[in-house]
Amino acid sequence: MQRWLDRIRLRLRSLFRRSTVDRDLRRELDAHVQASIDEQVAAGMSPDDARRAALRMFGNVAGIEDACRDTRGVHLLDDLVRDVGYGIRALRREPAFALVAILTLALGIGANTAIFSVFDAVMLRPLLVDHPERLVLFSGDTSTGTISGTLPEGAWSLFSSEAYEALRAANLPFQDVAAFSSNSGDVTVHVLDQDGTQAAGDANLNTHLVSGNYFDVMGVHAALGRTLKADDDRPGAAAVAVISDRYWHQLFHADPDVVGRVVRLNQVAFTIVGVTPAPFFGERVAGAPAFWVPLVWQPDIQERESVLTRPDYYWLSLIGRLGPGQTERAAEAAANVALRQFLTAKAGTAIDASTRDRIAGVRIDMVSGARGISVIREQDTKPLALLLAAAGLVLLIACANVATLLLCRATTRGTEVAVRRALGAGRGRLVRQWLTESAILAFFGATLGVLVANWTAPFLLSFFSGGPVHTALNGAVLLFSTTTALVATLVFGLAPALQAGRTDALAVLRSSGRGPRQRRRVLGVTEPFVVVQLALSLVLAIAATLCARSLFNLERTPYGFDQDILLTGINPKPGGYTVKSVGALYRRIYDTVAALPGVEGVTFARYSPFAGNRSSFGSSTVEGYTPAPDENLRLEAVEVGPNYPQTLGMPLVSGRAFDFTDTMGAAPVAMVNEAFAQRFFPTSSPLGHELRLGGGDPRQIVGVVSDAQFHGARDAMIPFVFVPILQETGQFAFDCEFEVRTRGDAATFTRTVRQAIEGVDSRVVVGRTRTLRAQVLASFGPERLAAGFVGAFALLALLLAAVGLYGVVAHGVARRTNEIGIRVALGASCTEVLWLIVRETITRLCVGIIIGVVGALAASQLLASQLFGVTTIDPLSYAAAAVGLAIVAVATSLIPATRALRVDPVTALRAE
Amino acid sequence: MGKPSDLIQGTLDLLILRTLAIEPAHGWAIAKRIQQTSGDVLQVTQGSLYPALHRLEQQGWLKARWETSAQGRDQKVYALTAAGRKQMARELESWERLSAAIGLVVREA
Repeated sequence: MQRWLDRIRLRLRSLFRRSTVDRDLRRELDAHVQASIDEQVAAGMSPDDARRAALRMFGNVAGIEDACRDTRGVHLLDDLVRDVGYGIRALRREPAFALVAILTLALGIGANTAIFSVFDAVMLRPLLVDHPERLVLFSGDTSTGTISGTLPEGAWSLFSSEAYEALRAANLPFQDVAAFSSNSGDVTVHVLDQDGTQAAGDANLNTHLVSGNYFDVMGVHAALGRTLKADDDRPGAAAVAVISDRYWHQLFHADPDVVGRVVRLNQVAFTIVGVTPAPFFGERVAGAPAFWVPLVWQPDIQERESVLTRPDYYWLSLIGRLGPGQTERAAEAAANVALRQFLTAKAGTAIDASTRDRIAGVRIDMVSGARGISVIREQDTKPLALLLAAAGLVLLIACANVATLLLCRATTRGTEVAVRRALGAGRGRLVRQWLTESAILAFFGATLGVLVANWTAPFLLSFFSGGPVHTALNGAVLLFSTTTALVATLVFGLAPALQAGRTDALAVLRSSGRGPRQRRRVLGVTEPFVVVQLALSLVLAIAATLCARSLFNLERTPYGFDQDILLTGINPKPGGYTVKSVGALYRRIYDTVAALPGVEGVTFARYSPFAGNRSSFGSSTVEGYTPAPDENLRLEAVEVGPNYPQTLGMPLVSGRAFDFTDTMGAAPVAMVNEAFAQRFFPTSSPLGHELRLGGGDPRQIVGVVSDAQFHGARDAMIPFVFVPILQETGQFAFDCEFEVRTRGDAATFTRTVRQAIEGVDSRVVVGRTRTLRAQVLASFGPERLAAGFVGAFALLALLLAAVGLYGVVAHGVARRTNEIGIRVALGASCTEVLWLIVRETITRLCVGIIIGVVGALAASQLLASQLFGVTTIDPLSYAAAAVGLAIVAVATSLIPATRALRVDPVTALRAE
Repeated sequence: MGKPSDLIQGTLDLLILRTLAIEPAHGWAIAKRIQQTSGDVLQVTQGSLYPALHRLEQQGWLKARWETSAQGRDQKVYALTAAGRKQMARELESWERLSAAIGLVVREA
């Protein structure tokens, strides 16, 4: 034990008190010499002779010192410290080289770190709550919405209020289970002053309906005030809300006295009781709510009839917090039993066989809630993986670039290396020193890269999520960039280091580092790196071209409707309209807007194409169509107003469009699309036949319109039904968007149309206004994003490859000055000299293009699902990218090549 | 004669340990004592002595301290530690086995 303590003490002393240790060593050796001298003098020798003899006998003092130092076992570290010092001095001697190398690496590492931190934030990071690992979601389904009607089959994602209560009451291995409305919508928010007057204007903000125990289950403590309590979620409780940190800043300027202030959400005044901590954004990654209010306020928040006690309305998502030591699997099994028991009990004694089968098939598939619900995770995994791959390629190119730089630099340092070898530096020692220099470059590159990434990541993230998801330099990100930097060091530093280790000291010194053998070898080593850079940048260029062509196709494809249409949503409720009276309002707005100059057509509908809405009706029937035995005929439908086909530019194929006579009192009617007609009436006309949507009243088909894509570019044409919004008796009657077809750019009509609507009834709230074209374009967000980033990465890659190529060609020209001089002296023409240089580039280019095309064929599979109207092997894109690369490469090598032309043969020859 | 390479591998350590087992000494004295005890057959050069001393010290077999000699000179004096004593016993045993074995072979031949 004592021995080990001594050993450690000695090592530490050697490490940190090196000068003392060295001095002691010197003293000890001196003492030895002195002792020898004393002995000789005692034997009768003169002191001078004695000293000489002693020193002669002693031998190489420095050698002994070194040998003693080596026994301390810290020379590796010593060497490292010395190498770092030496490396930094060497880099400072060549600031231009160091700067280019560090910037190149910073670009590569920074791009990767930025993309990775986004990846980390949306894919990997757990929610910032207490023990996130104990949160369990009752469904992995990330979509939102509601289901009404019959018992949902299979895996449940949504629960009715009574199912939630039953599960909560059951003895599940959860501490508690919370519920939240899956469909949280925007509400009109008025901030009220202390005296009750309106302080700040209205805004449409996301408000989230949650059960009273939501925050307790999530494990979130209020940053200010308190969170919601179970008592807040009882009928008759005072209206209270919790505000998010972001909107506390935005609406109240982070007023510390915000607790007790009042906001009006829709028509109800809510008292703010607390602020959530900044890192908490709800259970959903993206779309962070501004307010959380108890579930009991559902009718007021959603402005619709209460669904709180409806047994057939499934609208809640559930999340539970496991008790200590409990597992997700046990919870799932218990919840499944409890749910089936509840459903069986509810069905009562009159349960029939088919209901029993249904109940037996019902199940809950739990997933970990530690990272919250992320739609991004589902939707954007592909684009993000793509970006990570593209960033990886950029890093590889950056590494190849720096490797080329280092190799070229190695030739100019040939003499230095040779001298070191001649002085006895081992090969391993040289490799280590060169790797240390590379590591220094990587270190600075990574530091700069991380700074850049830290600065750009939030910006990047805003593309991916609506909400304030936090990106922060955390352990995972730092670990990632450190690993990246280390791997990069090996990738770009190993070849030059081995090259240095191989240096033949004698040959170099004899020819003072300029021998032809040496040149060929160094260029031979750089060659693969140049070719790799060209190949990789071609891969990115091809990917970018494919994305660009796909985006072009997406934007140019006619989806079956015209896009020069202005869309303006309105909320008639503040005007006090009822389902019955709202039709007259629509008529007045219709007439006013239609009379505006430049307006070619007006209609209104519940939602427009590409808006992201979808409503479908199960258990529908079509006259004359017999569904298969177990088929549940599901039809998609949208509520629209008069003049719809003409305004949207979906030509009427037969029959008529709706008009203002198709109201509640009139016979229920419907229009269908051609896909519908073809499926259900392949041989006859559907006109005059009846259909029922989800068990509603029978509607007579009065018109057939041409097919249009409603949900997105990649959706197949499906049978589609249009029903008159004026015949809508439910709340949907209030969901209204005016669609105005204009002459010329629709966007220029924004103000006119809004003012016209406000002029009809100033109490009506006019919502967001945008053109249908903008809405269509917005739906290509992910594709646009992918194209933008891949394009940017491709440009970066081309730039890096051009820099790398330039360096190599310029280096080659400089080394061949003599040869060029001789050729010029012997009468070579300008073209011949140029050709001499450019020929090499073309050879590299050909190899690079072949490798790049093969690589792109493999890599473009990643893109396959992103592309529209263009295949992953589109020859035109490949050719365009290759030509682009060739132009850049040849142009880049022409710059040093023209320098070769200016070589004066006499100077060149004399230099030899 | 007496070059380090002539010493059988590891024997220098044993010689140093054995010498120090008698009494603590500084480097010069150790070399001198080995030379005298061996009847001038073994001469330990400084080039092998000091690295060996430092190595043994690092291993924890030896302990060193600075002392001032009668002539007023600073000397680094090495002494055996308890662990060093055990190590010496081990090395002695293996040396005796080895030399006995060599002796057998040499006599038989």
